[in-house]
Formats: sequence, structure tokens, C-alpha cells
Amino acid sequence: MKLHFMKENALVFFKANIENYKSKYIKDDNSWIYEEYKKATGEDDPFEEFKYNVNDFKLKILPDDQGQEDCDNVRILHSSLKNLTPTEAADERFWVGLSHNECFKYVQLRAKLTDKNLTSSKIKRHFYFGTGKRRSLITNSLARLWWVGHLIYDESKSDPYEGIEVLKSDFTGNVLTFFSSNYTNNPKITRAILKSFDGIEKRGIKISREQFREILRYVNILGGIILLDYLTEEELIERITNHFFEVNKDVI
Amino acid sequence: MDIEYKLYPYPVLWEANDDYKNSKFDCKVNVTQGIRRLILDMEFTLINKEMKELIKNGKAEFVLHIECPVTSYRNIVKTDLNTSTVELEAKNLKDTIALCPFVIAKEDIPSWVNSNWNDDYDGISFDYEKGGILAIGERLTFDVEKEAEELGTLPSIFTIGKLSIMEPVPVKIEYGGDKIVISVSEGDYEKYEAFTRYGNIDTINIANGTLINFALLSVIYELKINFTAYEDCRWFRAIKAMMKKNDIEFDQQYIENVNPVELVQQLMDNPISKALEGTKAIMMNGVDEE
Repeated sequence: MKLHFMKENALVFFKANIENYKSKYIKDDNSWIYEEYKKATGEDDPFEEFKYNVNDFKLKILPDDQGQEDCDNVRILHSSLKNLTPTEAADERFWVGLSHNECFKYVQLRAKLTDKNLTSSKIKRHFYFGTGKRRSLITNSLARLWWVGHLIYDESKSDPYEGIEVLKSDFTGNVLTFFSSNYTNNPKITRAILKSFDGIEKRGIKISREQFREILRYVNILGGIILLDYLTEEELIERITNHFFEVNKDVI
Repeated sequence: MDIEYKLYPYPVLWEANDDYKNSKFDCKVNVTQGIRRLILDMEFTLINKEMKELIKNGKAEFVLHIECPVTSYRNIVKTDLNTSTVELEAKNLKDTIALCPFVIAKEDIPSWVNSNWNDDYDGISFDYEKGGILAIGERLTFDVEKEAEELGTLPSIFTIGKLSIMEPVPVKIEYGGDKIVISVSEGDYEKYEAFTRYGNIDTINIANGTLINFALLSVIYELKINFTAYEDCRWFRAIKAMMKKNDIEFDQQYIENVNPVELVQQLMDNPISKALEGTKAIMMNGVDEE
């Protein structure tokens, strides 16, 4: 499957003109992008072919189960683009290209765009990097899928994406909360937290949203007295698990 | 890591506080850009007798915390030596990297006392747990100089030519034109096209692992003999420009001293590993399809 990224000058142009083109984002296809770009610049193609092909993939839409949809799509997108480097995956041109080309329909549906809720900010957030370079990696509809896959991927597991199940119940909220803390940039720390949750749930305990957030707060506080990155994954799991059962004695 | 001023539950040797007297900790980091790499040369300075003893006895060590917010890269480098070097892969780094040096407890250190603590701590000992922060140095930032990432098909200094012979014959390599021409038999040409045009990154890496790397090695050896003969060729200027971006002067002296095998592997970013990974990926997919 060929992929296309958006050329730099095309990105600058369309991003600056979201307000002018917002009605076009609910059209059935993306032919308007070529037409408008040609009108504005005289050039035929706002896209350029990405340097290599990838295996065919199709993202799912499950309107009745958003959490499952997001989890499945993390697996689909990250595994299809597993050779992307972090610098490529941090490039707005790449994700804007996919959002306006191969994945246009998906992003349109995922953003739940209708003629009644079309705002520039909504389009910017889903189709572009709308919230700063770092944060946009987890708020852009497509980039989020790849980056969550990248940060939770554990090749020691038979299912390397196993950790995603913990985030399913409220995927968007959990991802925002979980990956807003810088410590999750260290895959070892991320895996330790996810494995702790998994270990707790395997004991038959369903972790509530508040308990989920409390654990993240605990890790944050722990990071204030020791260098989290220094501990081994097992040591972090032990600390987190012990803390959970300490503050939730009633669930034992 | 953004270490803002805060209070720790134990003394920390740090410019931002007065927990210590007559003591100092810092780290000089010299950053150079290599081919697809960033090389960090670290030099730690520690003036404090008891803390040095901890390091000498294996109870503490120097740690450099490395973070690149834009690519969500975060890692540490540990050493008990005053100087150390680490190489980071450029593919993980973009825009700015933040470096913060520490002295960290390698294990629990109960009831520790330091004679250079602030007088307020007279008569008190502190327990440091593993990972505890004994000292913090100055936070440094470094801007990674990179051209906008090349996302499109890479402009190539190579071109694959077709010999008008079907059966396999030794590859011919020509250096005299604007591109380095690698001529292969018709049969081999069709296979190479299938790998690169219709395949994916795995097949491209395998194809490059055979043809391109072999040709590049041949070029480097040729330049060792005839450096000046190719200075007007576009491929030569392209390699020279790429080396310059990595602060390397691509001249006769460099070529005479460089190890061709090492250079090719750096230029092509470990092609053998990539080719083997590609082969493994194809084998795994083949197994899955069964």
C-alpha cells in the first residue's frame, strides 16, 4: 500500500485556511484538496509519496464500542507502520498527509463531523497538529494510534500490544491522562505501570477510573523522591502494586 | 527532565539549595553529530569526599538523564567513571534534547551522614533508597541540527542498470558519471525491481543489503586509490555534502584513514541488521500465512 504525506507548503496553506475549507471536511471524498490546491498554487498535487510501501491496512469504525475500536486500531496502525522511526512519526506532514488522503474517511468518522458541529478547532485537532508538537502526538486522531502502540509495545509478550486493554474503558481520557506525564516516555516505566494494572486485575479486582488516576498520581509523587528511570521494571511493579493494596485495603 | 527547584526529603548536592557546603557536582557534556548519530562526551566533576567514596564502593554512580520531548524519547546513561561517552541514534531525536546529570544511589543506603552538610543537619543521618538523588547538576539543552526529515523517496546517488544478458553475471560498477551505476543481468534487474518497486521496507532493506552496500564499499575503496578523479561527479558531491552535515570533512586524508566497512555501515545505518530483520519479517509473515 502506498502512503502519502502532505508537502510542507501544502500543509502551511491548508492549515492556515481551515476556516475557509471547513465545509469540505464532511464531503464524501478528498478530491476537493487537489482542486483547491491547484486553484491556489497552480500545482497539481499537495501530496508526495512516502519513501516506502506498507502492508495494506484498514482502520475499523465501531460506533457502538469506541474503546474497542481505538484498541483495535492501535494494533492495526502501529503494526502496519512498525518501521516508522520516532522522528518520522513526530512529523506533522506525515499524519496530515494520511488524514487527508488514505485515512480521510476514517478521521472524518472518528471526529464525528457533521454540518452542525463543524468548527475549525475540531478539524485542527483531528486532522492536524493542533495542540503543540508533543501533545498533538496523542490528540491527533491518527498519530495517537501509532504513538500509543509505540509506547506500550512489549516485544517480550506473545501479544506485544497486551497493555492496551487497560486503557480501553475510556481510551481517549485514559490516553490523555496516562501519556500526559513525561515519565511515560520511558517504555520501561510505561510497561511497569501497565503490568501492575494487569497483575491487579488478574486477581479479580476491577480498577476504577479513580484508582487508575490515583496510581498515576502515586508514580508522579514517587518520581519526586527517586529517579524513576533508575529502578528496574520489576522494582517499579512491586512499588506500584504494594501501594495499590496499601491504599485499597478494602478490596483485598 | 525538567528539574525545577523543589524540596527533597533528604539533602541533595545542588546549586539550587544550600544542603551542602564546600561541595560541587556538575557535568560537562560535549555533543557532536556523527552519521545518523549524536555522540555525547560526558565529564563529571564531583567535589565531596563521602559521596566520592560511595561511588568508589559501588553504592552510587553518575547518571545522565536524556530526554527529547518531541519524539517522546527518555533514557538514562549510568557510569562510575568521571568520563564516559554514549552514542544516541539520530532517528530517535528531533529539535531539542534535554540532559540532566545526577548522582544516584545504586542501592539502599541507610543512615548516611555527610560531613559537608549544612549545619542544620548536624547529628542527623538520612536513609537513601535505591534511585535516591544524591546530587543534581546543571540541566543542559542541545538543539539537534537536522534538515527536515526526508519522507519522500530518497534521492539516490545510485542507479541500477540492466546488462543485455539474461543469466547471472558479475555486477559491473561505473563511477564516472553523475550517479554510480550498478549494472546487473536482466534476470537480476527484474528481481531487484520487484523487491523495491512492488515490495515494502523489508524487501527494500534486503535488496539494498546486497547491491547498494556492495557498490558503496567498492566506491570507498576506489576513492582510496583515486580520490581526486571523481570530485566533479554529482554522487561525490552528494556524499561530501552529507558528511559535512555530520561535521565530517570528506577529503583525501579522511578517505585514506577511514575503515571502509565501518563507513558503509554508518552511511547505510547498519544495513546487515536491517536486511536480516527484513528477512525475518518476511519469514514470519510466510509462517503466519500457512
